Amino acid sequence: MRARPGIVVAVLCVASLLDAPWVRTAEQALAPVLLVTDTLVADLMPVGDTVASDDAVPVVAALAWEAWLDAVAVRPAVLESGRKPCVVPVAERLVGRQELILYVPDVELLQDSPVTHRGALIGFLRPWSASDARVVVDGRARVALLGHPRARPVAATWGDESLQFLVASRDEAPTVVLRSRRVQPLPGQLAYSRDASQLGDNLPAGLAIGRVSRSESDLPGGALAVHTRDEPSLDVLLDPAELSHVTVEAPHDARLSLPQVEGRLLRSAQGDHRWQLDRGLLHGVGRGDGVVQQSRWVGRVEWAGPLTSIVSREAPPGPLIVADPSGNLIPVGASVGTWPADWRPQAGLPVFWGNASTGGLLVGRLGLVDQDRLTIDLSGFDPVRPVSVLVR
Amino acid sequence: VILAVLAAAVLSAQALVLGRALLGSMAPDPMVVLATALALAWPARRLLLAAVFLGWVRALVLVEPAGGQVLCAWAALFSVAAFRSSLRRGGRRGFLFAGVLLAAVWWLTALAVSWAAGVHVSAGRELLLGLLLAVPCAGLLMRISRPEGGAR
Repeated sequence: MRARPGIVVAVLCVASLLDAPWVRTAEQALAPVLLVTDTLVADLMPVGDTVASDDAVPVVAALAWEAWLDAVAVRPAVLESGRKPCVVPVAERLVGRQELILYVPDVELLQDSPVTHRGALIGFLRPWSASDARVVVDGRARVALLGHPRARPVAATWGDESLQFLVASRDEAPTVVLRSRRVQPLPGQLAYSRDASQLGDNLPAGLAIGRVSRSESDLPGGALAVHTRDEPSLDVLLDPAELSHVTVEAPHDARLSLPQVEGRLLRSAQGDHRWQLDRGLLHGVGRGDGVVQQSRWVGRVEWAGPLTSIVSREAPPGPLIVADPSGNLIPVGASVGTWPADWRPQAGLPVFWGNASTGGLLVGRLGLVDQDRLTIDLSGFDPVRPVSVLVR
Repeated sequence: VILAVLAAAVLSAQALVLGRALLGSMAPDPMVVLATALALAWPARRLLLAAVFLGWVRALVLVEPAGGQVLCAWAALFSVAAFRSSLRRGGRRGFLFAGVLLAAVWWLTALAVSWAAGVHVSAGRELLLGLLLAVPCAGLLMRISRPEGGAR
């Protein structure tokens, strides 16, 4: 039976309006036709977005990023010999499977080595699969988060070494097992890794593992009773779904080089909000990739077609680094819940972001707070010069 | 002819991009002139193809889902085509009135689609401003837009 063209077009229109990915991607197939005339039009364009060359921007952005890296990578100094803490980006968050996928091209990593963030233990590097014992496959490594069956047990303490125990994965949660004494830990206590090097375990001491989680219930009279379950579990300190970077132990000479694609942004009729990028899926560009120009953040790929993409001028994902007037660097998220206590945004403060391959980038300046979310006035960029796409 | 129409759509879309860069929201959209001429000239069976070309190219430069603009173009072209014979009798004024009708239907369809789908579909004053480009040569455009193959 032959479908009527009108019905086919109507169905495709509805699919396009419903954001069907294959239709939206196919729509971009016609964009290269526009590119032919784009080059002619580009010469006639006013250069309104050109930014003055500011030599200070790369330096300040690099300082902000490096200071943030130092804070993220903070951890006890005991490392495997010949290795250094290295901050790497999170490529994928498989929270349901209690795993993270890290992007670590050309970096040699060791199985069961710890993965941390700001001094907290997140998990351990695991073999890629049951049939493949390699840790890094195609530039990616797999992390078994605490609570994952593949996460190895950790020798731990409450901090004063008076009570020692193991933290093992039970029922998808890190759980206290093999306590040295029958003392009940109080709810809310923090557990840290302890030095077990005499037993051949080289995990550094002092890594925060989690907080004791104990169910409590009201008793008559208003008192609280602590359930005396034998194996209290630990609440992990960091939400893996929020992590954009973590720290791994890498060889001293490791250099993280993330692939980038050079391209050019072409103005759309939407003005400054959305731009056409003359690179697409066939060049390796994908949805969500960041677009930068020298030391400035430009935007994110909203849709990628075969040969062209749409770039939306929006802030980067993950924590932003705000430099306050006294020179402090404060990592903040977009929503109010992620801000440090007592911190109030001041309009006009510079905002930075970073990437393992580009280093620090200037994102823009803080705008007003709108509905408990930060607004950021993005830094300008020069549409005449090429941009780089940070391919994930 | 089809390739020529596609090329004309691309050029008019680029003119809108350039116009937006120079004049901001006061930039005219020359595509409305092309669409009016096609609605008056092309047989009804080809108007769907014209709607796809015009809507798709316009959506690309507006960076929107193409579905919304194609639906707008489709409704606008068929609305003008429905009154083609009486509009043609009006000569120069008929062409301009056809343009106003096309712009109005495009705008109303965009409103309806935006409301129904929850997706922004751009259509506004640039369509009417685009029609101003046709004022000096509306009579000539009407003569050029004679029906192909006796289409009614």
